[in-house]
Amino acid sequence: MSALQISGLEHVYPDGHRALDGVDLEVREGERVAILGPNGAGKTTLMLHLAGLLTATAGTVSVGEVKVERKTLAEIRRRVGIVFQSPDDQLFMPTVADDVGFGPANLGLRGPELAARVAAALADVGLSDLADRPPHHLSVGQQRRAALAGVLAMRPDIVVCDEPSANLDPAARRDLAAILQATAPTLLLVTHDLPYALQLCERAVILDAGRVAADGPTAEILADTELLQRHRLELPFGFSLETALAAMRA
Amino acid sequence: MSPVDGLYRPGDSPVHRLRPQVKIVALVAFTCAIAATPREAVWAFGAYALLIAGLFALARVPLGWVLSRSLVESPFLVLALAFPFMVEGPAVHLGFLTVSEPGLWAGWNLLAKATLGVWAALVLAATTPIAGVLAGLSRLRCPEILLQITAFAIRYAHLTVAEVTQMRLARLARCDDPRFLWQAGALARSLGVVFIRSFERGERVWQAMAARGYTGRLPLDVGPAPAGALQWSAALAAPALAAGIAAWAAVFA
Repeated sequence: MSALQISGLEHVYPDGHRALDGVDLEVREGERVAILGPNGAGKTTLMLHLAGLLTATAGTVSVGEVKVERKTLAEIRRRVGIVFQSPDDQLFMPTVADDVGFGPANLGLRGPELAARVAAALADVGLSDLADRPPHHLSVGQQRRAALAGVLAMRPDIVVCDEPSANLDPAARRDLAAILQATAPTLLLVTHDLPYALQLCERAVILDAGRVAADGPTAEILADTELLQRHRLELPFGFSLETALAAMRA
Repeated sequence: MSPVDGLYRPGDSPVHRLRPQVKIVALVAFTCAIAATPREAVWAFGAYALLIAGLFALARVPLGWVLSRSLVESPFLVLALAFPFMVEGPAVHLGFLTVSEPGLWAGWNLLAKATLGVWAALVLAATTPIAGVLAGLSRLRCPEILLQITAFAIRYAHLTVAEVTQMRLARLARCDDPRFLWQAGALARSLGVVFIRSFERGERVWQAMAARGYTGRLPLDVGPAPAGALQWSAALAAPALAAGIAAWAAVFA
């Protein structure tokens, strides 16, 4: 069953910049898909369309059987959970628990039901101890986990993460990968961190100049050096795809 | 300290534990009692000051903090000091100064009431986080639109300060001279940029909120639990005492 269906999606910004130029993409339920692409490829614009945060110039987005339009926005935003790149933009309530409760409270939850949702989401990301701390006093890794908890608390069908590994130290990066693997049923990972995409997603899509330029198993896409180069992508220096794949099979 | 925290001093005193809504009502009642006290009843103002000092001690708020935060009333202080020289009336001699007696009383009235009012407000501010104050106001049925405006003003003030701080650090890192007036030029030039950056950041913040189902109404009533009779009676003890003093002073003065 298809969790997400994007067809002919175009977006032109008011200054004339054409960020999306006819994107077609289908994501099945339970699939983990990496959206790869250089800076300025339209990745973030695409992500904003998934929650109806921008109005499409042309084309449609459907989440499950619900089409993104003005009257379905509330339902769409419950179904699609977006973890933004900068936790500073996302975390704004006075305590971590309050912030995690912001989404479910917007869904109308109150009292013990709300508290249970918050507690479960914080436990999922391993932040139960920091529930009463102000978010701006946490480390970047903890902030990103708090932002993820705020999204998980809404029980979304699809989790979308924008550059989740940016600015994380290796341990925090590994922790977050484990949490995402355990908690996100259908995952869209927007990134140019190729090893992270390989670790988390079996399928990868390359977005360049507002179009889908390639779509296939992540391992195959990363093995195609020429394809990567054409789209200003490359594996980190010293990274061996064979070793990584062997480690993943083990 | 970030503006998000405001004047709040984290703690676990009995004053901290009172629900925000009862503290707000107590503050209003206390301020009314102070305002209603006849200015000639000097002892009553002393009693109020003692009462507030007791509350500060209970909340473990240091004197230095109270004094530095009281600077906000300095414009009123200047006015209070000017009254004795500006108001007409029978003159009295203070050393080598000749001042007007009604002016002296008017100055005293302003000084005493403004200072006590500021201190009473500081008791609330020091023991209640801003979110708590908003939640308490929401509990007291303050109009939603005012709460929204206040909440956003605080949120965006924080963003703007963060932007200015970051830009200042970036200027310092490139050998800007941050002393006194020299930075005014750079600041003036960067004001436009600050505005645009805050605006764009505000937009990202809004997107992040909208993505989590925000439709124009902050769930501010999530936090505050209703206050029981014990909470109300504890919080209203100080204003009740003050009202008693005010009434006494008015009747027997």
